[in-house]
Amino acid sequence: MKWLDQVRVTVSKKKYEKEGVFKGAIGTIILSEIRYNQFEVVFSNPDGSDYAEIEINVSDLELVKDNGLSDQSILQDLPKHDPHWWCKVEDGYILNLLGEKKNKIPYDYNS
Amino acid sequence: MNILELIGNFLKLNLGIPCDCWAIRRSRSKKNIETCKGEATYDEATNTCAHCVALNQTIFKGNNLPMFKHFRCKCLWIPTQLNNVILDFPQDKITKYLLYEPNKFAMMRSMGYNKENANEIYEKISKEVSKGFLNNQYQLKSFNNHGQHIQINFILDGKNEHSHELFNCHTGCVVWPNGKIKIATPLIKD
Ligand SMILES: [Zn+2]
Repeated sequence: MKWLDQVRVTVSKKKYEKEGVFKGAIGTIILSEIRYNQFEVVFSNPDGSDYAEIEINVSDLELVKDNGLSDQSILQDLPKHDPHWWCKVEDGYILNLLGEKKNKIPYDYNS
Repeated sequence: MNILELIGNFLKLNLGIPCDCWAIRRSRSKKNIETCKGEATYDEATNTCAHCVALNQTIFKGNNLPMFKHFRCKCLWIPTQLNNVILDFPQDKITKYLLYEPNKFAMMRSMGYNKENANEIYEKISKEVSKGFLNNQYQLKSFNNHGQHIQINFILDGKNEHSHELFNCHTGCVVWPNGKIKIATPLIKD
């Protein structure tokens, strides 16, 4: 999972539901960087308007469609174009563009 | 601006009286939303709150600026000039989002836009945002430690089977320091 990929919310949580985002909702990762283990995800209506833009824990998301963006493109959007930012989730690891892993144990993002 | 005009504008800006000049907000902090990489935080060195850091060095029109102030706030608005804006707007937001995500793409198709019109729509949004900001045609929206959000409304010409039609649209942006505008939501059809 990374910037502009389509993702699905896999859990029901009050903090998402009060923003109108329920389990199964599909949205787009709209900011490239991961902050506090969260992606910023935007959810839109069939007419293209947005009904929510919220931060969602990476552990509460699954990939729906990979947008195929290159690392170079992600770097363009990262704050200060800094490759150290955590910005991808692959096989249970939060990664940066240098290939470094944030967590030690896969799928345990606080490890 | 002569010196009297400058002083007059300075007083108006800081007394909350609408003023026609551009104004840059200054706190004592060296931090701003850009040095904080998009999420403003408290500055211990100068005891500046995250909200004032988020607005530090941003430029707005003197009659359309965020009124955020707090008890013992040391921030000031200083008259300045603004002749152009710098956009933070990666092209992928068009090619890999607006013309790609199914709901957004359906919205673009309803105005006649296709994937081959990516450059044109990118240029159009860039032009309208720059023009809208410089002409004071922006609306202040939410404000938090991610910055002051604004909305810019414009009319978009339809394309292909929808050429000859006009559509009311808007773009959502965040105001960054020194005339930088970060485009958050590239296009919404109203
Ligand atoms: Zn202040």
